[in-house]
Amino acid sequence: MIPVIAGEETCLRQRLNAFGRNIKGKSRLGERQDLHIEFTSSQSIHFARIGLLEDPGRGPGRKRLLLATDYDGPMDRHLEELLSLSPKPDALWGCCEGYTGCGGFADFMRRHLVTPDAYFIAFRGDNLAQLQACMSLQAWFQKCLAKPEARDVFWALPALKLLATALHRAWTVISMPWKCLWLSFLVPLEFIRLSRRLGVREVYAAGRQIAKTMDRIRVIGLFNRLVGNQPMPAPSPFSQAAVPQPQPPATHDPDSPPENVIQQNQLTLVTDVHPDRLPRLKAVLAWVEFTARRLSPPGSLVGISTIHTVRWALLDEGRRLLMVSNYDGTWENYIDEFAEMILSGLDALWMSAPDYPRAGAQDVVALKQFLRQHQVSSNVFYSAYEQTSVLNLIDDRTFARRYGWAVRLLAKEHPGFARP
Amino acid sequence: MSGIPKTLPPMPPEAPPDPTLSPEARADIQGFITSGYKHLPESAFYFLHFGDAAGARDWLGLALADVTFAGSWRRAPGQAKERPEVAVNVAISKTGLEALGLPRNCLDTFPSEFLEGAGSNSRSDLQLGDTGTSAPETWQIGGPGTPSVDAVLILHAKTAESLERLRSLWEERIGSCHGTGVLARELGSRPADSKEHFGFRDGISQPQIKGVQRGGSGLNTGEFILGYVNEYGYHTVNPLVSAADDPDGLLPDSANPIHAGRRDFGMNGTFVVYRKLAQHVATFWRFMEAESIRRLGVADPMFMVRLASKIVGRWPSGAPLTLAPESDNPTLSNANDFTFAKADPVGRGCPFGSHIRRTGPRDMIRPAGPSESLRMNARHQILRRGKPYGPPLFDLRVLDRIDDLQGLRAILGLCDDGKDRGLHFFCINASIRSQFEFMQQVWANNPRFNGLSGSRDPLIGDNGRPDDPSALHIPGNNHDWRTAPLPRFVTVRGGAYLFMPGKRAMTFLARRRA
Repeated sequence: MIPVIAGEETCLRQRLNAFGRNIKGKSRLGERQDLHIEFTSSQSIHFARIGLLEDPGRGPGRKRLLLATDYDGPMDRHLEELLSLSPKPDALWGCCEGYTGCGGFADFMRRHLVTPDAYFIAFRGDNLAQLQACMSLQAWFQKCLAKPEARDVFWALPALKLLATALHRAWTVISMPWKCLWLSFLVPLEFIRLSRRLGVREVYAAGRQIAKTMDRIRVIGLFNRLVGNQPMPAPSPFSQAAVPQPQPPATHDPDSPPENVIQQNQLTLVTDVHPDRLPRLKAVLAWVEFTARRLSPPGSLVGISTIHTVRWALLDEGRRLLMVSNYDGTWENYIDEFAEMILSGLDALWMSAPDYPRAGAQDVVALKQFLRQHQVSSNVFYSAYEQTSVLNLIDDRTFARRYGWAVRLLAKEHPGFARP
Repeated sequence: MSGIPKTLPPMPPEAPPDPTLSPEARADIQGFITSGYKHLPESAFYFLHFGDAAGARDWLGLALADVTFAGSWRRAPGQAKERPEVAVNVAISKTGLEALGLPRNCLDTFPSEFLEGAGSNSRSDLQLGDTGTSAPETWQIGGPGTPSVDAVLILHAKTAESLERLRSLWEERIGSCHGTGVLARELGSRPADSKEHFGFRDGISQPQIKGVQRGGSGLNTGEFILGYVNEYGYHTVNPLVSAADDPDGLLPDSANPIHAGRRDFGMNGTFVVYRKLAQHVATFWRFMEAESIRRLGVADPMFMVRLASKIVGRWPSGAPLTLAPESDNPTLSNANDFTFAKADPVGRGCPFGSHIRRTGPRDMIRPAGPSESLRMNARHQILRRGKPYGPPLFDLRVLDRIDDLQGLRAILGLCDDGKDRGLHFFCINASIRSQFEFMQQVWANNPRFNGLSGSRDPLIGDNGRPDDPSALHIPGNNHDWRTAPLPRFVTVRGGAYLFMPGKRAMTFLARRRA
């Protein structure tokens, strides 16, 4: 998060939009843009985004540049890569305060680094190359299935799949007691750790708040029943929203690249934090971080499988909350799914905002209005696998890991089925 | 062809009680919303353009006297229903409301997708499938290159003769309204066996409106009629008029306390989506034939019917593949009380990509569990009120006799006869964005719906794009397979987003002084 030099805002915004609309780097005339980062050549960047956020601390109209990337490997190497992917680094960073040229780039970036308070990435253990290998195996197999001879080539696949599934099930059953034992230590341990840092009361109340509507996870359901943790009924059957559809905020940038399409999307939110609610928010974020890092199976955050990555960070000494997320499908669907699956989680996070709907996320029309009002346009959005959903990746990984050996074995002898 | 089962899990928190619609409410709601007019198979649709406000008001005034409302057809309890011989209904677009002089501050409270209109770029950009030959620029009705559709007059009658009489009456009436012109006259007719042009029984699974059903089964009324509680447990957010604009007090006061003092223009109205969908029947069956030759080496009509059923998700008789996975079973032709999660978890009966599993995923929207899926499914349903148009390309009854192989050969080598045929698609929903558009964008036309890849709705999707091919993945008992890239079987030829006002709102519009 880097402050933009006063007076450069408009020009920078226009050039970022030109970059964002043309992420592959060639303008219509075939000329290379000045302000550009060749994300597409990277072998380690999953997602990247650049947006311009308000910088109220520096005065009205001032902006700060948000660069959010999800990458493999250590940060030093990532910063080197970022620099090497920019044909003219000064075109972008020269508009930012404190930039002294390529030599001091790594230090400059580190100075402005914001570490997220909570971070979730769908496939923590897999790097880009591994994910791409799973995707290409599946794509190749789907092509094979369109050929009439596939039936003869993969004749033994059903039996081999059965075998692999049986082995997997056996392993699941064997490892289950160990997993339960591990979790029964881990969760209380984390509770103690967080309580020492943030206070028992806040940590317990935050956990209760998040868990309220998550009865479908059996352990949480049991906890809710034991402590009588039930959601409040709606205070009124009328939405507090004045109009049926959410309106974009006044700060919306109409020239930013299009959003709300079927492909992957991005959401950047900046909401205010009420000072009285900051301690609770910190505890909520700590729980989210723990869940995302320790309790989430690949591709799923408390049962939601549309999130590629999401992070939350407190800005300006806790006066604002930033959320940056990359997700599948449309904005409407994303919010609907959130409101259905983790209603109490949404409430726990944004109850901190003074203008959050009174009835919380169950008033979906008002929730959408609230989120749209705080959304910041992204000028640049890059995804390394924009045609693939988290669900696709879960399936592709399972397929590659569980049955990959079988399909490779069966296709080996057949020239028409060779992998490219 | 979509739908949801009858039983739904309870909402958390408990849904407020949803009373059956009162007789007063029924007298205000247009009958097109609450009834499919099954006894009136013949229909005509007039797409109107208003020249001036006075003419528009004259027309609406005439319509108001004749419009069919949802009042009970049973004069007294225990008596037989007295079904109307004809039905007249009216829906108005944003430009129509403007022409009728609806105040600007009221228009501003309408949803943005309605204000933008079906043919605007911001809607078709949402990947509703309106690309290439279906792009709004090519539309015959409601496109940017044609005069705006201001209103649609919907006529239903029992027989072709009575429809003809009704039409000539309305032709005369429209002619008498200054400046009001007819952009298009379209006819639709429901065949006795309810088959659409590809040969499949249609209209089987319709959601029920709770307020209309005795016993209170079905989806909350607010999903289909404005002013009631919807499946989120909230009242719909309705278009409003300031009290100053309604000095005669024709409209009801807004029940929402935050809008105290304003009048509810939307109450008992709803939104209607119209799409003229041309069906390419020869292309459809020739694709099945080509797939049969590609996979089996011969054109096998049985294989073709089986593949076409995989695309639809039901057999030609209407029997769902989930309940009848191996062969058609006409005794199940009305079956709609089924779910997927237990009966068909990997799609061996009904593939994930098939049309009915996309438009009604029921209890299986991955990765959500069955009860969450059912709730999400219930929040994005539409009531379909479409009617087929044009003559059938071949005798569709052969598809019901699949043991008569000789008769079934009629589907081999089909050629297009150059005649226009398809479906006048009308659907009713309280929110076009959250229901029709959501279903179209997030479920039907989404190449990655439910974990699929490269697969849009095989029946109605915008397939046939060389840059982005789409195929159907068919899980089998022993092995899965994938079709060749699908061509486009349905082209969009027109469209409109309309508001179907209640009686009081119609009276308010017809009596407004400029």
